[in-house]
Amino acid sequence: MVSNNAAYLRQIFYSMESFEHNHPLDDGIQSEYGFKQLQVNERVVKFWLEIANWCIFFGIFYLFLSLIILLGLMNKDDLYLGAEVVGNLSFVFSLLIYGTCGGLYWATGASIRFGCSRSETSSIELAFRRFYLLYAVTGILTIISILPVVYIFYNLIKYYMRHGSF
Amino acid sequence: MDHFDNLIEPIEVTPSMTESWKKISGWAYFFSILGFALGVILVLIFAIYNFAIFQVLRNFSDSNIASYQEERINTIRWTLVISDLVFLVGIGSIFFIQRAHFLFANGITPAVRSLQQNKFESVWLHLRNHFRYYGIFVLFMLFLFFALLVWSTLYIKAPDYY
Repeated sequence: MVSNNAAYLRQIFYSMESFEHNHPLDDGIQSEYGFKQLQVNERVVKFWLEIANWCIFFGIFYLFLSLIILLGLMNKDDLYLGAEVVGNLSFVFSLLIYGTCGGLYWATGASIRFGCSRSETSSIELAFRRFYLLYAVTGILTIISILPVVYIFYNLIKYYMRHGSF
Repeated sequence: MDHFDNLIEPIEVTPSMTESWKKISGWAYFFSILGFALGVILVLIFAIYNFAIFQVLRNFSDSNIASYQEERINTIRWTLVISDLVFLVGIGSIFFIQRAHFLFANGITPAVRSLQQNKFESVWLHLRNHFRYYGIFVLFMLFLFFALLVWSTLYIKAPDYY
């Protein structure tokens, strides 16, 4: 009885789903279970390929920036000395950020291109896991790099509130 | 025409892909909101900068100006015009770049949930636009940087007292 009810409810649910999404513009393909499934068609792949190309461009750009920072650091004689510690640390940190982001952008772009060319589900899944990794790492690095700025502004405002002027 | 076009066979979206896209949309929200905040900060800097330079120009015009100072005032005016244009282009670009990112973040989960193919495609169009605008913006800034570098090397000379 219970299984009959469940089957009946499932049938109603599926019919509602198909009624709700049976739109003329909706050309999703039917899966083996009778659901409409989203399709990765040629148009979507074209968008992904352009995104991948821009990712490779950003990868090269960020790696180039990190190379310039690295060259700047190598030409400094007073690395980690005296009052320049904070300045040097910020240099090293930006080198890490740009290097990591550049590598991840390049790897993601290459991965998406590879997935699209193979036209394989597993390759595309891997490409989007890398894409997520790129977003997550870039986001965490962005938060870490914003924190000192927030801290400085917080202290400036606190100082102003206490003393009435700078 | 891309050489990938001939290789494509339609494939279905899998739960693993949708899971990744949902996670990506969270970070895309974060980046777009941060970008809008950056745009607002740039507008504030733009306003303060313009106000300060207009004050300088007004002080110049109030006082008696020697003829050799005329050239300096004109330089300041042109600097203001060019930097304002760069500022406005930058602020406009940031708005459109982040708008496309926000539309992607806002649309991917509903598109996947509703299973509407046209919605799904338009969401990826937004992300494509985001990357395209951002890339063109970076290329424009690089061009500007190198143009200024070449121009300053060729045409700016040190004052005589050096």
